[in-house]
Amino acid sequence: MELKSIFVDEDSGEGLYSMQYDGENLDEFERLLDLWNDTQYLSTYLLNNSKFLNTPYFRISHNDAMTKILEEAEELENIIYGYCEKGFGEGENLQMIFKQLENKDTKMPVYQFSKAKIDSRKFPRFLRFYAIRISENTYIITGGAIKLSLYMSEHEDTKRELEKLELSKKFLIDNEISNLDDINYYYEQS
Amino acid sequence: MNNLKNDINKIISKQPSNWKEKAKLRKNSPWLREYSSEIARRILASIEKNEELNQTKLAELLSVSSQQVSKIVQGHENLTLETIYKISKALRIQLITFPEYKYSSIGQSYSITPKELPPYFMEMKVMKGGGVSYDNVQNDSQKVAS
Repeated sequence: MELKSIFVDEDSGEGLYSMQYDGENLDEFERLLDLWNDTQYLSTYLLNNSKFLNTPYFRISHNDAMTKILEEAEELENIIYGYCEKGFGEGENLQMIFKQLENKDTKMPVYQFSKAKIDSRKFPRFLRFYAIRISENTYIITGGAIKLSLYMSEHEDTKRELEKLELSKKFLIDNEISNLDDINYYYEQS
Repeated sequence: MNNLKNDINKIISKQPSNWKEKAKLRKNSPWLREYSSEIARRILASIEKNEELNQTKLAELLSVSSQQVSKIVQGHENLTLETIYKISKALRIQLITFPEYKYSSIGQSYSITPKELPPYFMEMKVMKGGGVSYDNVQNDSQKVAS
């Protein structure tokens, strides 16, 4: 298990990092975006999970799901590519796209479990990156999923992502990667 | 923050992610999602429906390698018209269709009107003597260039 940089501000060390797990050739961020742009992978994945496409959470055809996933992948990638190219402008930070994993969570732990997705109030989105927050502009991607159920515990793949979050948190603790200054600042401001 | 930078530097892989290069390529190739993926889906659906067909068989029919077919169904190939034609024949399906059109009388213009017009489309005028000229036309039919 190791950490890879996706894009990092050289002065501050802030930026986006990704876990690369043992046995994988690619870090999670690169691996997932490859998969989410792979028509054959998406087609097979959706066929294998077709029962999840006809539920109160999702009611969508295979073809429309494919189109939406590809669009979301492009949109997510473009947002992050924008940060990567332009850096963080005034008032812009990774916290604008990464939110706490639990919607009702009001605490700010040292290793906050987080998710990134395209915002929408109209209909559910398919794609999620999962990450651990270190500071407002420093996140460690631990994985991601095509989220087909309302709760993460309702699908094997998202259940596994919860395990990866815990595993990565342990890795960060063992290697003493944290930013207590950021947490202290957060609580001073709130 | 410098402490964080130092701590991360102790464990960071010397090999950075290759994501940025791939992202740049995808960003510069919108046809991958809009065309290649659409064609790939139809090939996959056709193979799925036909019990006698698989990707290896399709590779044989096209006289290409299995790896080549694999790239095509991933939606990552810039397919030539020749390849699209060959796949269509091998699968006996239409992979691309063409909108209806009609010529009007000499001196009059005609246009193709699919359901959703692209940002601009070509207007062709039949000239006296049988030649044609093309104009770029905006959706509101205002000419922008010729």
